[in-house]
Amino acid sequence: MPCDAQNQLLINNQPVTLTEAQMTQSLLQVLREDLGLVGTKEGCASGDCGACTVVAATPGQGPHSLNSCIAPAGSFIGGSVLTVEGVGQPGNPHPVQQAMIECHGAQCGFCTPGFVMSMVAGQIARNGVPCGTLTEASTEISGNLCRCTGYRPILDAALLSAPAPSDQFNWLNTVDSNQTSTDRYLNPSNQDELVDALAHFRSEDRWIIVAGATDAWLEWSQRYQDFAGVLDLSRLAQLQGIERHGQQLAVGAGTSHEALLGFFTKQYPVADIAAVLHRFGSPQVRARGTIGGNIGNASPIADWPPMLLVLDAQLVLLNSQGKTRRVALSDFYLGYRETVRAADEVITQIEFDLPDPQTFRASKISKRTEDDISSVLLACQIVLDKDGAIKTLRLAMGGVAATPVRLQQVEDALVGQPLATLHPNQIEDLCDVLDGQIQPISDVRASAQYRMAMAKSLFAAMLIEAAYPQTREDLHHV
Amino acid sequence: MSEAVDRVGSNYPHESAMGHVTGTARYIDDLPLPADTLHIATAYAAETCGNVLSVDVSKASVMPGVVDILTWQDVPGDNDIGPVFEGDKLLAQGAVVFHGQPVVAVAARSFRQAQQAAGCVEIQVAPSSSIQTIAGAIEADSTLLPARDWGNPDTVVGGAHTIEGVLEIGGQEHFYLESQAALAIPDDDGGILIHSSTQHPDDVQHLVAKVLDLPLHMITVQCQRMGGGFGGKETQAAPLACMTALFAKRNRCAVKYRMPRRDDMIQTGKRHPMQWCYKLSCDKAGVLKQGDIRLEANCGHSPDLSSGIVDRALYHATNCYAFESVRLRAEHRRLNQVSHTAFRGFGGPQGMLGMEAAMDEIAYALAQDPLDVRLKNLYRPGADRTPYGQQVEGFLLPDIMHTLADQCDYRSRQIAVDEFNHAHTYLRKGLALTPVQFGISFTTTHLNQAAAVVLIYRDGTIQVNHGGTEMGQGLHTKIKQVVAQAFGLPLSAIRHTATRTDKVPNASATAASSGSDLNGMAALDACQQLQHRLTQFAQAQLGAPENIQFANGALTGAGFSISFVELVQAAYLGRVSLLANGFYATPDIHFDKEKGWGKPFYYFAYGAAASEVVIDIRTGAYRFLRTDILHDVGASLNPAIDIGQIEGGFIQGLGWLTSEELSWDDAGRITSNSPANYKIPTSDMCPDEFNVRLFDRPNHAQTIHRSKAVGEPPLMLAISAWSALRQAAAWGGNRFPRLSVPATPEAVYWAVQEARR
Repeated sequence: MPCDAQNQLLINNQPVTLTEAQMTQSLLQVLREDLGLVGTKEGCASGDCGACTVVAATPGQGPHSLNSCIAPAGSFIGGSVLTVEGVGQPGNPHPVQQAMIECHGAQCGFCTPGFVMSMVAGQIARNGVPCGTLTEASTEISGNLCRCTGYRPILDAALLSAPAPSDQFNWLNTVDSNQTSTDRYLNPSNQDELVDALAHFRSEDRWIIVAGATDAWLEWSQRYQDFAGVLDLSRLAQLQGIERHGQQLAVGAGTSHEALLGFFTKQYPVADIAAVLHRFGSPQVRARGTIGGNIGNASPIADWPPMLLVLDAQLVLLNSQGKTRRVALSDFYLGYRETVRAADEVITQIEFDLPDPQTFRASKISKRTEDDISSVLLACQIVLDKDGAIKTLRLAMGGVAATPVRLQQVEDALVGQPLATLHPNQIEDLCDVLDGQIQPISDVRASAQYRMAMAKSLFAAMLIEAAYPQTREDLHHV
Repeated sequence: MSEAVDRVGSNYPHESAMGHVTGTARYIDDLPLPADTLHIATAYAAETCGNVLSVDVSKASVMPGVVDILTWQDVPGDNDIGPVFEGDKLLAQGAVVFHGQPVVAVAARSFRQAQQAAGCVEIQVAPSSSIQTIAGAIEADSTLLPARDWGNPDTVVGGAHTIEGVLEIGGQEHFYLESQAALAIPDDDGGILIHSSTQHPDDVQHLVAKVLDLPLHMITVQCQRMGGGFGGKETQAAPLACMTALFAKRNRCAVKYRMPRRDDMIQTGKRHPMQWCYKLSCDKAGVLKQGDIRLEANCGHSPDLSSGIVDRALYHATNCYAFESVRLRAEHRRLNQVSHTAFRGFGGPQGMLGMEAAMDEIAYALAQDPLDVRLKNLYRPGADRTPYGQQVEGFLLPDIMHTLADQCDYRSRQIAVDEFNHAHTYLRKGLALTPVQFGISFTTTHLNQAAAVVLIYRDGTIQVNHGGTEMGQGLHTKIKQVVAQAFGLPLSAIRHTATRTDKVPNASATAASSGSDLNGMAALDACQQLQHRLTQFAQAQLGAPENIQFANGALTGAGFSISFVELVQAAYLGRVSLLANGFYATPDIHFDKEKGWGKPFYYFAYGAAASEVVIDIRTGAYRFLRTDILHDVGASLNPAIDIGQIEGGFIQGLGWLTSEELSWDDAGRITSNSPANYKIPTSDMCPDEFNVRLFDRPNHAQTIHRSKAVGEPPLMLAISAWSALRQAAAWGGNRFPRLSVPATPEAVYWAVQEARR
């Protein structure tokens, strides 16, 4: 169904017009408090529990699940939102809902609509087909927390659900977009509009730039900051996409983690990047969170920067005069949550070397395997010469300093080491070179001592596996 | 639904299942609100501890939407809302004693306006030193309640082998998916109706009345359902209800208080962190001789329910094992933290974990398989009295453990684990089988009572209501099954209505796993009264024979049958009451808490689990490969619901023991204040292979249809996974390492390092 009027979207296939004030609220708040759609629950208001999961399609993005608690409602203008109320009703439940009943997948029921929506999103992505494997089912619900069931019956429901009727969700893909920016919600759709918007944008006046908003919107949902205005980058087609030029990749800053996970899983498989991205946030966060946002918010424990530092990434920034400049990622970070990006600049593109799947390694340490923030993330590329000595080495880490760091002194110190002739214990000793090179701290995620130990241990593991590939042992392939 | 489905013992889905999956089941935050409803937020000091010097609400009071602001001086009745002992202030009175303690409450036109205004309240505190560790509390002799000293005080620990040490056991955040919530709506006669997400409506009623200085009959509390409870809504729901009632009374309008997740994680109590300090001895064969066990419990700043929780830690501190002589002591340490509270298991898990950790240490010291050490120390004829004086009857663990060991190939898999570990450089597997024996009854004897109301309408449909609350555990479904079976009716003929203090007064908390035991028997009593009346009526007026029964929607006997509807209509015309109040008090239990002697439990529930894990010794990261559970629920009222409790309890216990880490900074501020930094299990933590079976044997005690309680006991089955992680960390090392709780990857890594030293 097309939607013609300005600032309209479809919610459960019904046109809804948002006021400018509503556009700067969370989608969840608009659903629950303005539209009375209280089937979608607030569990945490930080995008961690999945109780508020809905499915949406926007002009910039096909159907995907998302956490409506950390998404500005304005992002969905011109799009479609599907909530649990639109999926099925008592007396006419969706096959996923029926399966959840039959498998005893709900106990207290508060998280249940979120699980239902994650499974519905999965079925839509597979053209109505339920999950085929336990791994697929577990991934599908990995962004939803349940405190009652222990998950087994929910996984059963994902596997045993009947397929959805094939035409049930077609409307999600057939939305016309005609949204234009309002005074307080700038939603540029091309570079000229973006430059204009950047000129309008005044960070000192409680304005915010968002792309997927998966981190930025916590200001609104956790700290109750009302924004004077929002600059929303999510409709900019030229910020999206992955292009390969020879041995280089050019990735639009607005490209979602899910799109990149797909690229490094299918189009150009790199096992360790895929493994890290698989553990990045949740399906809901990966669908909306962007690589540019992950770089730009300058967290020392962001997952992309160490991998991109190893790949000598360059950032392209665009400012309010329409001027672009290129900055090496290694020069981008100035200090804790501080970068060289000016207030009227946005990252538009990230360019980096195509990783060599054989020699590129990345590994993440976190308290919980899925949907957890890294305590340490290490990435490196180790190339040995024909004699088994280190020919080139690139090494970067997150979680060990105020910013993500490339460790060139360590690289320089180890080039030439005859790895293949060293005993694994000797290789472990080599990693003491990290002493003094990194400054991990203790916090809620890990102690400084453990972070230091992990930096050495992960690095040693990668060096040993480079020297002795046959010795690789993986916890996840037992 | 077919008749077969509607009986006790069938897998009927949760009575709200359709509402759950379609999002139409309402929680408090979903209720339609009167137009003038106010919303509450609270403000707290930046400091952890100290006298409040000043409270400045001038900025907050002019924030948009603000209608009313309260401090403790505005409380008309009692500002202390401690559930058993005093010590929990509704709003800080003179001093703050933990970080996050509410000092000021703000009511505004919207949730966000209330939060934004609360953020503008300025509170000045003269900071004083605070106690943040159990060690600090011991040093300062900081306690809340008299110490317990049970068992044999003359115990001297000696024998062929002695082990001793201290196990640090972390607490746990409840993380019910629905955060705390209450909605108060004033009645027109000065009374108040409160919708509360609470496991204990009676306590909410009592405390609201106390705070408002009103008699109990002016307060009605309703709980339709909770979005999870786990003990966290036993006492912690009351402050919200009290605040809504207070503002509602002052402003003559409806008031809602729904805690944001962050406030809930900062301001509400958690599972008690404890230290399990022990010295135990055994003979050369590994048979336990003496034990001296001392628990140091971090109770937080106030008693709350800590007395009962610490007692239960002691009841379970020897789990299912016989000692010649044992001394059990406990201290209730006062720390400047949120007051720790009830959490599924109620202290039992902490007590039991220490004992199971000790069994592994004995096995390592004697180079025996830990399962053998466990089996030879189980209660046995002549050694079957608990340290608190209860004779153990109907002891099922030998049977359960042997059966489980066979079902899961424990012996051959131990060999395979050893082979795997020899074959790998960095990966280590561990396999452990641990038992659970959990006492069923409130250990405060008078709480073991319940009432229910059964109402038969003239069309033959029935409403049932009782004092128990629904938090997802399926209590209401089981009660409906009990009532349906009593009258031979389909489940669709039975409706369960919301728990309300104006239907059943003075109800105990839905806690201690007792919900179906107590309320099921009360409902059955009501049904039996009605059966008796209807049967007598039928025999006297309708010519029914001596032997008749309710079955298949009718009352039938030899040559006689009348449909239930016709019977009810005839009984109505015959002026027979179709309303009955049922009551139940658990028989045969008694306990002297001072002496620590008696029979506190009506019976025990049993279970055992075998878990296999794999760790990476380079990082401490791990995966759960397989868990097999054999658990005793007596004759199950609803196997699907019971299996759900077992699986859910296991995973929740697994979270407590592995990924869920509470942390406080040096200033006493909780830093695990969000699901971003406090990690409950995701589906990925569910063991790759997860087999759960019921040990299908009727309860020897006379419980509702010979079933057993199931809410809490399965949580402790997860000890098997913690034990397996420790076995894996120990493999090939030089010593048996300590493993702290939670066993995060970091903790496992340090355990590996310790083992290698």
